[in-house]
Amino acid sequence: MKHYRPQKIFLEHSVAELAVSRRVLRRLPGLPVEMIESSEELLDAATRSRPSATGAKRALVLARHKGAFFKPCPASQTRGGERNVCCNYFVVNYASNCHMQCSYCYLQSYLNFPHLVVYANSDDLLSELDEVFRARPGSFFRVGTGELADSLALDPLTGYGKLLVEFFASRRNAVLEFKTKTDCVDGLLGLRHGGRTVVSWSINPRFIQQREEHGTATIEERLSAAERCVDAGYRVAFHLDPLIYYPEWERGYRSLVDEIFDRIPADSIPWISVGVLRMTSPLKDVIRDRFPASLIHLGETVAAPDGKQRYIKALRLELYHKVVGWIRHRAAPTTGLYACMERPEVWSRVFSRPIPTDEQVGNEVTSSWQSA
Amino acid sequence: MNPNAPRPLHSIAVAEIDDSDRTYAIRADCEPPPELVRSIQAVGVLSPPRIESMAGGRYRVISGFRRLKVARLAGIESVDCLVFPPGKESTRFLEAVHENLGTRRFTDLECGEILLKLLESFGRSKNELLQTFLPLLGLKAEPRVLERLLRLARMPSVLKTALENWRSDLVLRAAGWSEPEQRLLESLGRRYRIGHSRQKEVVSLFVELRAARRAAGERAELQTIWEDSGAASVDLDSRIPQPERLERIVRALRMARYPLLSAQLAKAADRKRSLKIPGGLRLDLPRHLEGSRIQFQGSFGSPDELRRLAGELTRISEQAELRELFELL
Repeated sequence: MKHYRPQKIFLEHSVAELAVSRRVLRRLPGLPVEMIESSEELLDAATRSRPSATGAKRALVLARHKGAFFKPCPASQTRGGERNVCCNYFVVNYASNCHMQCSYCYLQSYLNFPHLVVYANSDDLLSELDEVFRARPGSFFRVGTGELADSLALDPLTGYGKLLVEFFASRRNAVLEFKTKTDCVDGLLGLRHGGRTVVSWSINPRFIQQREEHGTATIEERLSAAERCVDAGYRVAFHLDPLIYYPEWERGYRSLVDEIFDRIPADSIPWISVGVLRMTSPLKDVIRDRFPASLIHLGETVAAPDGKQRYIKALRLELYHKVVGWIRHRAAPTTGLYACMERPEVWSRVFSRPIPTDEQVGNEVTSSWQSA
Repeated sequence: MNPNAPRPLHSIAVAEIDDSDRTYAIRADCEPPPELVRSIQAVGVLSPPRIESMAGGRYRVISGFRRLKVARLAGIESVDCLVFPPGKESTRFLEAVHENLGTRRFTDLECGEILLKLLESFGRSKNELLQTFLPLLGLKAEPRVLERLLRLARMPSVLKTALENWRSDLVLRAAGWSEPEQRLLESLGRRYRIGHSRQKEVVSLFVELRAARRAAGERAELQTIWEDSGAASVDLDSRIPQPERLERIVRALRMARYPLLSAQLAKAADRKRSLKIPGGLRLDLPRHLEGSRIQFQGSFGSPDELRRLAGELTRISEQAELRELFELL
C-alpha cells in the first residue's frame, strides 16, 4: 500500500520540542513546516473553507491534546433512548482523521475538520492511562486507538506504536488493541510487548476492499502483516466490520473467513467481531455524493430505533447467522466472538443467548488475560 | 434635504409603470397569491408600491410588483405610489429587501435570488454576503448555506417555477438531474397534490433506487426506474381515483426499493389479519419491524367489556399467527 506522506506540516509551538514532533520532523525532512500558536484556529478555518475530503489531508497538524485522552467507546452510549449491545471497550485518541478513503467511513460526516492531526503530548497520554489503571486495579481495560484514526497508518512517522506497546507490556489489568487497515507493523515487530498488545485488522472480502476501501492495504498485505505479527509473538484479531451486502456476499465472506484461518493459527486470535453496515442518515447522503457507485447503496437500509440506518432485520440476521457460523466452525473455543453496536434483540438471536451486559461481553473477550 | 426622500404620495397611471424592469425584483417571477388578487379586486391597492422615476416620465418598480400586476389585470387605471427620485441601484434593491423583510419570511428560493443579485448585479463579495446578508435574512453565516442558496437561485427558471411548491432541499437535489427527470418530477407535482412529507418520500425513493441501480451497474435514469417499478402504468390508469393512484405509485416505488422489507411487511399484515383482532383493540408492530415488542391499545366502557377484551387477548395469545409475527421481529 501507499503509505501516508503529507505535503505540509503545521506545528504548534507548544509541542515543537516534544519527542513525537521531533520524530515526525526527522522522518519528513525537507517538508514545509508552518509554526502555529494553536491548532484550533487552523482547524476552524479549514472547516469553514471545506476543501475536498481527499485534498485537505495533505496537511499534517502536530498539536497538543487538551482534554482527556482516555474514554469509554462512544458506541456504548445510549442514542435516542436506545442502547445497543457493546463490548466494554475504551479508547484513546492520539490522532484524528485518516488519509484512506473507505466509502462507508463515518469520519466523513463526523469530523468537521479536514486535516490529519497527531497529538504529540504522548507523556500526558501515558500518565493519564497510568493513573486510570492504578486507580482501578480490580478492573480490566481493553483499550483501542482506532476510533478517530487508523491505529497504525501514521506509525512509521510518529512512533506512537512503540511508546504504547512498551507501556502496556507491564500492565496487569489492561490490554491494548491497534486496529488498522494498513500493513504498517514493522515498527512493532522487535518490541517487548509482554503479550499485552493485540494487533487487529478490519477486514472484508477482496471484492469489497477493491471497491470500497480506497487507499488501504490489500487483503493479501493485511494478512501477511498479521502473519508477521504472529511470528513476532503478538496475538492478532479481526473485525469483519462492516459486513456489506452484495450479490456474491456469501462466497466472499466464506472465503475470507477460510483464508484468515488458513493463514493465522486459531489460538493466536483472541477475538473476532462482526458488525453489519450502519450509518447515520447524513453519512448516507455523503456516501451517495462521494461514492455514487458504491455497493453500500445496494442493500435495503431503514432507520433503526437508535436513529442509525441499518439493513433491514431479516437481511442483518441472514448476514450474521451465516458469517458467525463460518467463524465458529473454524475459531478456537477461547476466541471471543461478538457483534459490534448491534440491537439487543438481534444480538440475542445471532448468538442464541439472553442479552448480555457490556461488562459480560468485555469479560468474555478478555478472559484469557484475566484468568492468567 | 435627503435626495432619497420620496415625493408625496402620487396617483400614478399603471400604464406608466414599467414592471418588466426587474432590477429591484426579489423573484424572477411574481405570481400573486389568490388572497392578494381577491383583496385588490375588492378594495383596490391599499399599501402603496414604491416606484422610482425614470427618464421620459416613466417609472420602475422598487417594491410592489405583485400588487401592480394584480392592479393591471384587474383593470385599475391608477394606483397611489411612493415615488422616489433616481438613486443608487444597490441601495434601492436593499430598500426593497428591507421592506419585504418587515412583512414576511422569504422562501429559500427568494433568499437565493437576493444573494445572487447582490453578488452578480450589485458587486457584493461572497464575504459580505456571508458576514452581512445571511444574518440579515435570518440565516446562519456559513459558506455551505450560501452555496446552497446560490445553487438554488442559479437553477433554470423553468424548474424554479415548476417546482415552486416543492421543498427547497428536494428542488436542489433535482437541480442535478437531467431535464427529462426534472420534467417527470414537475409533472408529478402538477398532476397530484403532494404534501411535503410525501414529496420527501418520493424524491428519496427515486434517489435510493437510482443509487442501488448504479451500484448494480444497471441503467439508472429515473424514467427507467419509473417504468420498471410499475409506477408508470399506475400513473396512466385513469380508472383509479387520483389520491389512490398517488398512493399506489408510491407503493410501487417502495416495493422496487425494498422488495424484501415489503414482503416481510405483507406477511406481517397477513398474520395480523388472521388474528381477527376485535374492534376496540389495536395491535401495532414496530416500524420497519425494528424492535422486539408489539404494542396493543384498547379501550373499554365497562368491566364486562374489559372481561370480553381480556378473553380476546387470551385467544390471540394462543394463536400460531402471533408466534409467526414474533418470528418476523
